Amino acid sequence: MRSIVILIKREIEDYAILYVIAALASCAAAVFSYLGYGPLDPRSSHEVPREVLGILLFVVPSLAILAVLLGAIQMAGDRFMRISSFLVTLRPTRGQIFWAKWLAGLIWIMLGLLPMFMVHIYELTQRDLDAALTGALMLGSFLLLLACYGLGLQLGLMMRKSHALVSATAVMLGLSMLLVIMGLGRDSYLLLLLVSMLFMPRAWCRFKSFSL
Amino acid sequence: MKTSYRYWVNVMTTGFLVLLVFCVSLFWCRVYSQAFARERLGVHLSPSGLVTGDIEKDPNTVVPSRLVCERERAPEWIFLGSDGGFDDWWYANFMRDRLGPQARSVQVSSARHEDGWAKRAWQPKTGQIVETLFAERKTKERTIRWDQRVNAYVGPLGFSEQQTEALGRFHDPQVANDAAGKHTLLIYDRKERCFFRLDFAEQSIQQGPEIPSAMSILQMGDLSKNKEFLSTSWYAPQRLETEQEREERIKKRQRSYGYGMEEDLVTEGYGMDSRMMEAYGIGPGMPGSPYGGGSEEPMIDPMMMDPNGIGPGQPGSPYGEGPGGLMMDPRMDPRMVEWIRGGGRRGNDLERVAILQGRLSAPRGMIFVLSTSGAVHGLDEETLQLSPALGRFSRRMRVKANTPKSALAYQVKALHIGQEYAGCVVSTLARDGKRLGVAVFDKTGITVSDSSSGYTLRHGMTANVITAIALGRVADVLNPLGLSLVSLAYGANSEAMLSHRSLFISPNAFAASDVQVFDGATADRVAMAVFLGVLSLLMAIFLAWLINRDAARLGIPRSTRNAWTWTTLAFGLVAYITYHLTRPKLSLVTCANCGRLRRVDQGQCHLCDATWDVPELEAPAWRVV
Repeated sequence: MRSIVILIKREIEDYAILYVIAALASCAAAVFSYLGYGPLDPRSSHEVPREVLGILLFVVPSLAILAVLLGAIQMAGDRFMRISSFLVTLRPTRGQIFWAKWLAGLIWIMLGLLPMFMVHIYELTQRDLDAALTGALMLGSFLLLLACYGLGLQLGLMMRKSHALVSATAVMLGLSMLLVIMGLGRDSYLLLLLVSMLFMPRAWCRFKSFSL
Repeated sequence: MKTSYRYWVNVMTTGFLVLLVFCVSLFWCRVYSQAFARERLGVHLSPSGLVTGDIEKDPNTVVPSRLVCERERAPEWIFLGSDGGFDDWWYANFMRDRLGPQARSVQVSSARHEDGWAKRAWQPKTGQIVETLFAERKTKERTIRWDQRVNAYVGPLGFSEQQTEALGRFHDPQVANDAAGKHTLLIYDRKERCFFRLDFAEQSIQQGPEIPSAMSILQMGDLSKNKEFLSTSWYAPQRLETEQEREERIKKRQRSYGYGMEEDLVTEGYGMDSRMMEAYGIGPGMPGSPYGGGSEEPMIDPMMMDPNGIGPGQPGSPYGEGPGGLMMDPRMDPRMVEWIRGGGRRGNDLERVAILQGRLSAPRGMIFVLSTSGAVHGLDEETLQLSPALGRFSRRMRVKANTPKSALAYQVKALHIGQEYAGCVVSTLARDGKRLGVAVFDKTGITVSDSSSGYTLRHGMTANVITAIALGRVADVLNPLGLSLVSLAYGANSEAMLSHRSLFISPNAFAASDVQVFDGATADRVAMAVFLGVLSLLMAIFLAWLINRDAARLGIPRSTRNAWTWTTLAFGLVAYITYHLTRPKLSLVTCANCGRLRRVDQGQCHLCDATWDVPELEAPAWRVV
C-alpha cells in the first residue's frame, strides 16, 4: 500500500502541470458557476441556469481532451523514459505501477470536477433545484472523463503515432456523439461505464506484457 | 497471462469501439436521410364535425368549420438545430430522462402571493408538499433580497405549520401540469389511487373517490408530449359580412388608421395568404392564387381538401369539378363570384365573419386526465369525479402508435363554442413521425371523425430526395443484422422519443419501422424492407465467408473461426473490420510438404500436419588445421 502511495505521488509530481491546469480550470468554473446561479429568486426556474450549463459544456469537453492527454503521456512517457524499467528492478510490481497510474488519473479527474460539483451541491441545498438534473450532469461528466482517460492509456501504449491519432479522433468523436445522441440517461451511463471498463483490462493486458 | 484471454479482451474492446463509431455514422446517415426526404404532413377536416345544428349547411356559410392539424417539424430536426437556439435544443433533448409526460420535478407549482411568491415542492423524503413564501425586501444598496419562510406542510390528512408525520404522505404524486399561478392544486396519488384537491388559500384538502383498478393515470392538465412537433387549430364556420357590417368596419378602420379599406385592397391577388384566398373562393389554378395561378396542373391546396382527400377540381369535390379548376363554392355570395371572375380586379372588399365564437383550449371546470392506454377522461375540479372517456388516441394510427408511450407527439385540446364544451380533439404523431392521426369527439365522447395521413415527399423525386433516400437505404443495409432483428422485436415497445435517440437499436430505421406494423405499411414498402433485409443477410454471409477463408489460411482454430462466422452474421461489417484490426500478425512461409502458406510459430503445418523438414546437421568432414 505504501509503495502505491509513493508511486501515485511520483505520478502527480511528474505530470504536475496537468494537475495544476485541471485544478485552475475547475476552480474558475466553480466561481463562474456560483456567479451563474445568481442571487436567490423565487421566480427563477427550478432547472440549472443556462449560464451554468454553458460553463459545463465548455469545461467538461476541455477536461475530456486533457484526460486523453494525461493517459497517453502517462503511458508513452513511461515507455520513452523507461521509468517502469527502472521501477521493476526495485520493489514495485507491474501491477502496482499500473494501479498507481490509474489511481493518479482518477485523482486528476476528481480534481477537475470536484470544485464544480461542490458548487452545484451547495446550490442544490439552497434552492428548489431539480436534483436529478444536477446528478445526471455530474455522473455524465465523471463517466465521460473516465472513458477518455482510459482511451488515453490505450493510445499511450500504441506503437504507431498515426494509428494512435486516427483511433483517438474516431473514438473521441464516438464518445462525444454517444452523449449528444443519447443524452444523459441510464443507457448512456452504462455505455460510458462499459467503455471505461473495457479499456482497463485491455490496457492492463498490454502493460503486463509490454517489454520494459 | 493467457494469450487467448488477451486476444478476446482485445477483440471485445476493439469490436465495441468499432460498433460505436459505426453506429454513430449510420445514425447521422439516417437522420439526414429522413430529415431531407420529407415534406409536409397534415390532416384537414372540413367541416370539423364539432358544430351541431344546421350552421354548416346554411347557404350563407361560405366557409365551413375547419380543423387543421399539421406536423410542425420532422423529429430528426431535433438533432439538426432548432428555432430556439442551441441551449433550448440542449435543454429539451440532451436531458433524455426528463423527456416525456412522466418527467416530473420536485417543484410542483408556484404562484403570486400577497407578499411575493409562493412555491410548492414535494419532498420525496417526507412525502409532503411544502409551501414556501418568498417576500421581497429591498436592501440599502437597492438590490432585491428574498426572505423565505415555510408557510405550510401538506399531507393527505391536512395542512400544518409544523412538519409532522400525522399529516401522512403522498406517494409518488402526479401533479396537474397547468398548476402554475393557481392556489389550488390537483394531485393524483399513485398508491392511494385517488385525486386530491389542495386549496392553499383556504388551507383545505379534498379527497376524491378511488379510481377503477384497471386504469393507470399518466398525465393531468395540459395533455401533450413534444407539442412543438404538432399544431392543431380550429376555425369557426364563416359567412360574408353584411353591407352594414362592412360600413361599420370601414368607419372603425378610418378612426384607427385614417383610411378605409378601398386603399387597402389587394387588387392583383398577390400578397394574399392562403386563408384569405380561400375566403374569397380563389382556388388553385385561378388568377391570383398563390398555389399556381393559371397552371395546367394546379397544386392542390390541402386547406381545401375535404376529409375524403378529394381536392378542388377533382371529381366529387364540393368546390367544383373539371380541369383548370374553377373551384368556387356553389353557396358563395354572387358578389364574390363576380369579383373572382374579374380576376380580383373589380368588386368589393368583403370580409368573412365567424358565425360562432370558439377555440381550442384547456377545458373549463374540469381538467383532462390521460391514462396509459390513451383514453382521455375529464376530472371535475369540484367533486374530483372522473368522467367516462371523453376521447382517445386515433384508431387509424398503426397498431403500436395509439398509446401515449408509442406516440412521438400528441396534443389533446377541448373545443368550447361560446361557454359550452363542444368536444375534444386528440392529435397524434406516430413514433417514426411519418403518420399523423386526428380523432374528434363530441361532448359525450362519441367519435365524430377519426382520420390519419401519411407524409409526402418534398417536391417530388428530385436529385436531393433520391440521394437522401438512397443514403438511408444504404444505412439500412449496412446496419448490423443482429441489431436490426433486435430493433424489429423490441423497437415497438420502446418509448417513442427515446427510439429517436437510440444508437444501437433503431426502431425507426426503414426495415424495422415498416415491417413491425403491417397495417400501416403498404405492400411495396414491406417488400422493400424484406429486400433490404435479404441484402443485409447476403452481405453478412459474404463477409463471414471472407473471414473464414482468411482465418483458415492463418491456421486459426476451428472453434475461433466458428465464433467469428456467427459474429459476422450478427454484426456484418462491424465484425469484419474488427477481425482485420485484431487478426494475429503472422509471417507465413511455404510448406515444403503441401506448398501452401503455413505458420512459422507451430510445429506442424496447420493445413497438412507436416512437421518442419529440418535437414539433419552433420559435422563437415573437413577440418581447419
